Amino acid sequence: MKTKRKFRFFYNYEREEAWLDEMARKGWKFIGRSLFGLYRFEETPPQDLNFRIDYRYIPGQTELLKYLQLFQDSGWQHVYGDNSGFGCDAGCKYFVSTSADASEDIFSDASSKAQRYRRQCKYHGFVILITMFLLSYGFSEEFTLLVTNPLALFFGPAPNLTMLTVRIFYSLLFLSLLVTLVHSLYYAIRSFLSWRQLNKEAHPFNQQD
Amino acid sequence: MLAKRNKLLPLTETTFYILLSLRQPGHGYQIMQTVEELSGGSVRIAAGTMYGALENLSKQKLIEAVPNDDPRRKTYQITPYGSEVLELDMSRMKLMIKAAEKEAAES
Repeated sequence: MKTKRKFRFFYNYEREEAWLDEMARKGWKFIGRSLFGLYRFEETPPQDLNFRIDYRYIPGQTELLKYLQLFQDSGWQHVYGDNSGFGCDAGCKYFVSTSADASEDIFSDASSKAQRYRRQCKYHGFVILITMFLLSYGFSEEFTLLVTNPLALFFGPAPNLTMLTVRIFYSLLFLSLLVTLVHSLYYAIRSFLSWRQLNKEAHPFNQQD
Repeated sequence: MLAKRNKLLPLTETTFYILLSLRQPGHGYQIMQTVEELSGGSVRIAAGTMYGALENLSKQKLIEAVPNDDPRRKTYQITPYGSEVLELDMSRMKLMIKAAEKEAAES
């Protein structure tokens, strides 16, 4: 079975779902994700598939199975999902429609679609808090270096090999936390805006103009 | 005199139909089918919406999980408080229909 990998970042569920459908039409069926934005596909004859994504954390394995059963009962096969909170695919659950009777989408009103973005926004808010806490309490030296002499983070002088290894390790950790923070900030803002937009569509008569 | 209205009212269409179906115990997919039947096909709740709604209604104590023989599915039923809220919303809607019919008769 031939497989393919593609590297992508999505901040909008509609676009991600449309892309997965398009790949299936080209003969590549989505089978899963790896860490850090990699999508995996297997070669199939071109098909007209309907992929949908839910964003949710289900507490515990028993609850997760009941959640998946509900989708299966209503004609949605679970292709791949993450429930751990780590990686770019954190919290995402991918479903594909298996019967002609199944609904067009896994959400039937704008309010629940808005809630999906709200959950994502809250998760990234949490990541932002954690990374900011870690960065401010453990890495003030690295921050100073980043601003004054960034190359010294990795290539600066060190008294011995052990110290050099330790310093490189801390610098890598620092940069990963920084990247995570920036990434989550971007995600949090995008999902907040999407949530607000969809919320307006869900409650058209609630505006205070 | 303004009667203090229950802050959960008015119920959304999704909530109303779920509460109505759960006067009999049922699990997610059963509720989906009952709602479609009760509404004559005009209201269809999808899986993602259903899961979120069931969670919210549980938190608001309008429904509760009940034991069942099926380990793969969670069965719910309406609570007494849920029945009360449902009755209040039905009265509210009956009043609206009555007002509309009265207005139509007078004009």
